[in-house]
Amino acid sequence: MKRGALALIIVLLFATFVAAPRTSRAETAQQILDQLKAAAQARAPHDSFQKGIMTIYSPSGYKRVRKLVTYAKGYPYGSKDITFFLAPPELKGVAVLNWTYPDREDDQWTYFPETERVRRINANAQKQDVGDSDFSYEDTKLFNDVVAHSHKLGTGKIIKERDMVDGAPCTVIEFTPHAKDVTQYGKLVLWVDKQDWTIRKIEFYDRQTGRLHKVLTVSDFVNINGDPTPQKLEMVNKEAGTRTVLRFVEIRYNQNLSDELFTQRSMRRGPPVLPGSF
Amino acid sequence: MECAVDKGGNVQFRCSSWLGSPGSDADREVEKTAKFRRYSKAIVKLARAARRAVGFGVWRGLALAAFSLAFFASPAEALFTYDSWSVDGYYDQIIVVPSRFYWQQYVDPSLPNDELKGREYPSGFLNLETKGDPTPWLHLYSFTVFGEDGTAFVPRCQVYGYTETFQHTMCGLKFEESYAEMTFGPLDIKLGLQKFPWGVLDAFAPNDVVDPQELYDPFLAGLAGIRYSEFGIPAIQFGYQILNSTHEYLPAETTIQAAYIPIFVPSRFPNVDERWYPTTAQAVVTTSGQATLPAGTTITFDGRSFNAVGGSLTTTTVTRNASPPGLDQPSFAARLASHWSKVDVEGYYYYGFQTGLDALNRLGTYTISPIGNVLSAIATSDLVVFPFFERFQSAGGAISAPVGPIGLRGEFAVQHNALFSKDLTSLVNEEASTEVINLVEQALHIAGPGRIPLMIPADAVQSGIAADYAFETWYFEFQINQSNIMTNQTGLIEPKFETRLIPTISKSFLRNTLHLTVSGLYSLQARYWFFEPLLAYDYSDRLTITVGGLMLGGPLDTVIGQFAGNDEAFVRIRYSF
Repeated sequence: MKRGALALIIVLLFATFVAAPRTSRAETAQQILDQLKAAAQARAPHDSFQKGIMTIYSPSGYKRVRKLVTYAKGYPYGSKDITFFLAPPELKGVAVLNWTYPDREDDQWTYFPETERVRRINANAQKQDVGDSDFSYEDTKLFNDVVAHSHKLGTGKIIKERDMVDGAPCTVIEFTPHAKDVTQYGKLVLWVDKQDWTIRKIEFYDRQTGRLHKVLTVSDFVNINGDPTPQKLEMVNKEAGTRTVLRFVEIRYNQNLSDELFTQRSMRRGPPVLPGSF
Repeated sequence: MECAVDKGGNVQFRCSSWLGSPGSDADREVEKTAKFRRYSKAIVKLARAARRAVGFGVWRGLALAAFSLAFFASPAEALFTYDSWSVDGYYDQIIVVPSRFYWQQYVDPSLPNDELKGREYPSGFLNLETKGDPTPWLHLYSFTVFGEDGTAFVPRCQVYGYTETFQHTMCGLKFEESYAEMTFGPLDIKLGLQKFPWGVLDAFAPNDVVDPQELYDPFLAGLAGIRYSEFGIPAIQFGYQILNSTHEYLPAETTIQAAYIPIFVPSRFPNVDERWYPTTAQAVVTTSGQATLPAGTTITFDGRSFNAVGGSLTTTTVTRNASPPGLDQPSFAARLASHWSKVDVEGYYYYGFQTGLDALNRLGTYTISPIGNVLSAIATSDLVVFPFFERFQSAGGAISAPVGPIGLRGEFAVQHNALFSKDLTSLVNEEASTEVINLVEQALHIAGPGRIPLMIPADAVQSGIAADYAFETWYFEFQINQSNIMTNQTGLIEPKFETRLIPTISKSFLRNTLHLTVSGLYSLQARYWFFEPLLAYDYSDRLTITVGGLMLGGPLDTVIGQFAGNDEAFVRIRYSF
């Protein structure tokens, strides 16, 4: 379940950051979010392949490394993605298959190589931390929903017209989700770069205490097929003093991925042979 | 380090490392390499000295420690990777401390063992997984285990075969899976030693009937360890996949699989003196008394006729192997699996065999003499326990679906000729008179060995349902299994109708590096129980240390209760590479 959430995080975060070139300046927070949504939808790739390394740092500085590859593909009714863990040895061979929908709970399966069985995973993992990383399924799902369904999810307001993040001028939006049963967070603060319509930073605030819980920073953008694509995501847990860095070492779009890749049969067989290494 | 086994079955630790290369990243692990190599050399020297000083058991334990330390040296992600081939694996070092613990037995294995059954020395298992994709349509896979198995009863090494039921040795090489899989579009052909991982429930899955199991230490990994004990069988399996991405009400993926299994591979049972040999299939009894022959029958001895026999006999259990069905009696297996959004459905069918145990009471030494009107015998006998292979059919289905925040899994199977155990000790005691008569008849060459059936076939319906729920770092699972034996049989150790409750609770701590799992089992009708707490610590991505305890209880003539004396604590150290 935790491995599945991790895989979904990567896909959702990644898909959300694909953006269109600069458009005209938005006036209100909602207009900015609408522009962000339009940009994400306009340039969303038909399918994608990502190879990534996730490094998890404990407060003492000790690190743990996960290596994985993810394939994703869009469909009229949603999207599918499959992630294969390549390292560490205890996770190698684990595969996670997700079917994501805009209007209902996602479907998720995990393949456990030790028992050679595929197990359907309950989507109740939303509120769980993703194993030992600082990303959670809920963080990413919420963030994706803010971009794709901000009208339904909550309200936003501009709290700062200009703030620099990693050299990029950003508009700062405070977004407040409506219902308490949707998320554990009472507030999100987004740094939106309107030059290339990317999100550079997000702060997650706890609903109960109001304190800053996590900070997500997005950086190392490269242009792939004309789209500014982040290669590094860093999540810092302010309360626990931990951080997780997700770095993509290879990203490809529109690879004409086969439907056969997003099946339980594929989970058991393992990833297609990869050229090169990490 | 190359590790070899000499002719005496002793593991020699002249090892050379395959692993890593200077200058790899993770300087910390490179430092560890040098440090542990120095330590391992010192420990091997110490182990050799200890062996000379105190004997076999301690030397083996220390040598195994040195062997495992050597593997800490690897900074590599996989043992070996080249192009589309890889070799990975893990090493398990296991120490079991039974509740009836006599430390002297570990120092001098020649000491008598009346109290402690099946003393277990530290065990070590090297598991190697090899994968290769030489062509886009050909996938090769092999999983091999080389183990030093903790038993001292058969002090030799071997390559485990596929025809023997009783073959547990001190060390051995096992090929758990080794197959070639060819893919041609939607068609898969899988040829070789392979597993059939059927069923959706954890432990006691009614449809998990194809794969044999190793039952030497069945609960070391918890109830779920029953799945880990399965090993592959020779088969050729065809699979066909049908995909649908347009019609919402048709399954998105359907897989049809059919397998031809040319020979039957029996499960592997422990030796009769080992801890996990079922006591309900063991008799060390002395019976005495007198029995009257059936009306109208007499036994003639020395020119006289007797209608009553008596005396005393001592029966000792021994095991023998028997050849399983061969090429003239193949088995077949088929599986259909479909999944939609929100529900997975599977169907299974198996026509094959099951491994059962049967026994013959065979006369050993004896003296016969008439005492008045009674023909008296003082005899010993061997209760020879051997496997038999009953034709067996099973058809069933399974379903998995989320219901709100809960994951539900359900499974059922209708079985024809499933084997159920009788309690041998009660058989021998209840039928002592029959045994006395039979043994006297054997002595007089009137009859052959008397058969005592330990397992009998019956039709049954097995079912189960499980619900799981995750909340933050908590995980809860509750499973209920039911068994319904359709045939009226007496003397079975399983009740005719039985409900088993199986709860499991897990909690993770320290950023998911420390895991506590507590699992249990209770039979409502048979009243046996099982309780196992496990605490696992992920020291690093490669090293996990697990500490656990195992407690079993219940009436002695039940499936779990017969192992009530096997309470134990254990430590398992796993290094992955």
